[in-house]
Amino acid sequence: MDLTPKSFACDPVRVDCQSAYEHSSQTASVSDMSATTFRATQTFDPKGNPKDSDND
Amino acid sequence: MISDERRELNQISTSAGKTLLITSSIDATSDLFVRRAREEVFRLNSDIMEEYKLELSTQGFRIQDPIGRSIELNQITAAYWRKPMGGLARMQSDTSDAAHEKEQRRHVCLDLAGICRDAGIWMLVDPWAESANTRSRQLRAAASLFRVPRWQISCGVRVAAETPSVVKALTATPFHDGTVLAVARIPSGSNLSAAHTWYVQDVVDATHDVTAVWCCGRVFAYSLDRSKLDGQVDWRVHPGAMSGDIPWCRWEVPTAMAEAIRLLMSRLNLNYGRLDFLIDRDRNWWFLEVNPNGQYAWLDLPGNDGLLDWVFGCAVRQPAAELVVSE
Repeated sequence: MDLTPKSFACDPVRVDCQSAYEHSSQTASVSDMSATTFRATQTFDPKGNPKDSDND
Repeated sequence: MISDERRELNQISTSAGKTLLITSSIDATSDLFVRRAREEVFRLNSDIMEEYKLELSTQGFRIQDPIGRSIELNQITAAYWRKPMGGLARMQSDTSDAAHEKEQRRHVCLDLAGICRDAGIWMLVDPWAESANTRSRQLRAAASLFRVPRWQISCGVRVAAETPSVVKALTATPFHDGTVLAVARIPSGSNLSAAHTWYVQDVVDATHDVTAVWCCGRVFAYSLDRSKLDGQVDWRVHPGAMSGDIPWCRWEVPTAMAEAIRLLMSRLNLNYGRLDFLIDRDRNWWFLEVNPNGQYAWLDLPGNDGLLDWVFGCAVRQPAAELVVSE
């Protein structure tokens, strides 16, 4: 059986973010400004929707 | 959490005009950037663009946010492209109309950047740099400057792994179920299906990952000790590496490597890029890739190395030639 790209699939690292964006401060108040926040493979809002992509 | 003290570090000022930040609403690096640039930056979030009033015409453009803050082309001295497409691509899509709207907004973001470029406005990150500098172009450009692991990109070809190899993705786009293709070893004796596109590279027996941020003539390099990755090939899927428990440490860049990086970035016409290398037991540098808009804030969150100060400063104003230092 030949391997396909899905053979190598793995779950992205999950980082939860607050959804509220404040135009007055021009920031989204990301809940956890840890190193992980800035190198996430993918981030999710509180509803579980993926919101950001890569670490590239 | 970042302390308040860190958040107030070194406020930057554009003095001559405003910076248009083109990003999405959930981008922590943009949050940090705004905190430092304060009112000197106008942030446009592609994923909530409907909350702005945006008009674009032959004369240029004008954007107003919901609290009345506005910006016009003639006020702008710099535009900073901070991954707006990432947010756009991941917007919740429950109707086919939403997919159309996302693509419309993607074009608007590119139009804004294009107008800025045509107006001679400084842009640290070129939105078209990624498509102009594909993986194979990077690898070919780097071949005369660094050791580069043997590689192959193929489609329609059944690939047999004859030497220890890894598969890599050419894109960060996830699969339909949200999973991603991380760098992974190919099991010995296995074959890769001819029905798919593959990017395969020889394994490098490395002791460290090194990532080097190049920005307007300066290099900030950091290393990760691979002996702590439990055999995981890709640090991005190792919980300890992602959480910060396994730290990235400042890494000295030999003069010859710094010069090679400078030459490569010149060849690729990049003001900014985050380069990934592997270091073997003999301290040889193996080039992997350049990320033309790579993340960087996590490498120096405390601000000890001046990385954020330098990149944020370069985002709002092209540094004078005398300030550019090759390290």
